[in-house]
Amino acid sequence: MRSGNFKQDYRQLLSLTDSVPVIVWSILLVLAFALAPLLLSKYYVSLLLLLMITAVGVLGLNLLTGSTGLISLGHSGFLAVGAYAAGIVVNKLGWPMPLCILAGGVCAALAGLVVGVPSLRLKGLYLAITTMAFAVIINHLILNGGSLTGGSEGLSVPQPTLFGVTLAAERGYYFVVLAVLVLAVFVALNLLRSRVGRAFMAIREHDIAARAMGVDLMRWKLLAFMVSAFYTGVAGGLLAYYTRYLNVDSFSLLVSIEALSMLIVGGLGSVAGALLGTAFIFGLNEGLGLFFGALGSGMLSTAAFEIKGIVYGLAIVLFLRFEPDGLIGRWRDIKHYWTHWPFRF
Amino acid sequence: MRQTSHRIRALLGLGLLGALAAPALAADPGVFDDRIVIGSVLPQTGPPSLIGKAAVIALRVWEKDVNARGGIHGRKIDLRVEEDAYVPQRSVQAVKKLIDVDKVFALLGTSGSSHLLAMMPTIEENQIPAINFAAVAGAHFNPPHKTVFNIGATYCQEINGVLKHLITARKLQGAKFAIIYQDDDYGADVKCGYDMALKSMGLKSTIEVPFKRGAKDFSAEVLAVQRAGATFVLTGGIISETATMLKEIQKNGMNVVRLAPHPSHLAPVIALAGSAAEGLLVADYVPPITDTDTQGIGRLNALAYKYLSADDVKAMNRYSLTGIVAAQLMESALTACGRALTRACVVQKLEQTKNFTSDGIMAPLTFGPNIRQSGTRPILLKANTATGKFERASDFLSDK
Repeated sequence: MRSGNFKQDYRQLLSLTDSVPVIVWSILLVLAFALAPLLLSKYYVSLLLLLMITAVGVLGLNLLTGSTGLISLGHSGFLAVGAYAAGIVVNKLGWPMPLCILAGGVCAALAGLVVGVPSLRLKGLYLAITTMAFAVIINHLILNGGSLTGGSEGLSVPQPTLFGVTLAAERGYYFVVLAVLVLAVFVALNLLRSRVGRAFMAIREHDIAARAMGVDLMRWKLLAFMVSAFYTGVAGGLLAYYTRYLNVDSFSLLVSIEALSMLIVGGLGSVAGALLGTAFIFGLNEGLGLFFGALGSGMLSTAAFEIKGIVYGLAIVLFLRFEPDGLIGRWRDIKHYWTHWPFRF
Repeated sequence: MRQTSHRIRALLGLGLLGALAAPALAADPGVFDDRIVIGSVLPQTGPPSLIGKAAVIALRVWEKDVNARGGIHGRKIDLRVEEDAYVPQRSVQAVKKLIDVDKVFALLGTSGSSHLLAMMPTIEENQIPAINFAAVAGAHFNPPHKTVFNIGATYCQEINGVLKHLITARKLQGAKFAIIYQDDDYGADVKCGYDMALKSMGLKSTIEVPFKRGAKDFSAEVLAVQRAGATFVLTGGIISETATMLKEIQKNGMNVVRLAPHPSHLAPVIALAGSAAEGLLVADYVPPITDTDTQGIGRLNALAYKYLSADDVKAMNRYSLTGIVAAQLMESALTACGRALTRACVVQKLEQTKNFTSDGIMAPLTFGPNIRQSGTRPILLKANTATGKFERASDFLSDK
């Protein structure tokens, strides 16, 4: 009987997981996602696609807020920078899709470097407000960007193509997004178990103590901002090719708050938690939408949509009240219960 | 024996012919023996729900009315509404759901201006006949999109038409003109009408003051207009912006002619501005919803009282009017196609629309090859704070 999780050598300590079932289930999950376009209708595939793009962005926010402890309300700004950078590069320079998405990530990372500078002196709510201001500035820059950003009229993005083949959103492009998400998860997991990740976590726990241990705060905080913004920028680039139309209205502050709520519901600091939180909030929103949409086919349609909003908010509040460690905390509890059963500890 | 063999061959031949003919006869998605599924993407939550709810109410009235009349060629209307919260990205998701899950045949209502642009690739890929009646912008019809039909004027067209009429009818040639406009595409479209009208009348603008989208304080803008000595002000806000500007104008004791584009043709503007809204002129392309003497509006009101609750009737506004006209236009095309209903046929019938009348709700509608906008003749309205309503101040004006 397995009674604990003991590491007996460095190889075990550094491996991503020592659990065969985790590897098997992860492969099965990726396979299930890969098979989804063959089994599901276009709409549900498009939901999965949007879920995966959101997950990439939330993974980025998790690296900053969850792992490094730096609160950001400006990720809608990074998302916008990534999306518009990809859109502008493909329209003006005609670069291939992978490079445009990468350009979105790089531009967002550079913006992250700029926003990260105040983080050297600010913490908590003060940092949150500063990052929020960044998102507001980005929105104004886009609105006044003239023909470059399309201003409030928006910017059209062409259909994604790869090696000369046009990709339909719910078919070919879906696999591009899936590949990016798998890559993003691997990079995040590897990053968090490296010295970079340990530096991030040391800063989160106590930045002065981390500094006393030799962690260069300026370097690692700025890196956290850049990596996080890069992830979100890539998500923005992916989003640009999915919606094929960019408008500043799609990047409101609510996007940042929703991403934070996904992170908190999933469990701060955990990659699995970020993915679970994204799936939960996304599923809750869409599930309620389908439920109330079905109810709304009668004369109560207008009221049904208002009730949906209330139920959505209430579900999140109740979740935070009764499960503050997030979904990943609940998952750990269940796992421990079965691992140690019939003992309580 | 030989005869039997011939019969079998004949039957097989007929079967094969039937199988080949089946795809040609197969109805488009959303068309069933007993119903036609029509979709609508409109905001149902937040401040823009003022637009979406009023429009959906009208569409529901139409749905109930058509079904009570026995449907269209025996098929009832099944209206599916998707909420987009006025976020373009959600509009895309909403239209995808309508097409893929609800299998809608056509779209009636395509949310706001940028929202329709976001949905356009999906609509075009699926060749869905769509009527936009909530927000018309140049990009919706220029270049024309084969299946997307727009009813109503752009802000540029309505302001241009109404301002030229005002200058002539009220002899404003000597007035000092000013505009306060939002620094986005909406504001640019309003300013386009202002510039066009003044240019065509050989007049000049005294002052043009932009404001940031989302601004709540207009004291500086109104003061700038006052200092310039303006006697005519085009208040290019939406709801709260117009109300705030009107209050500032009143507070500063300015005796000016005030004109606003149609987003201000909503009761909350009068409620928010109070006495400052008295005499406010509004450019629109539909009369006030309270003008029940207009045959089309009177009939809509009667049906609304028949099918809806009193609260729903109260929630109706100008978007209910544009919504019902769009629904009637769609009904006309569906009826013209007969039992063999296809999307291509509906697009063709919509394109062939000539002088479609809505009993006074809008000017007659006419489309044609590569003409995807109609109903652009504007009308002038005036706010009456004593009744809390808007009144007609002109008939339909020229859109030239």
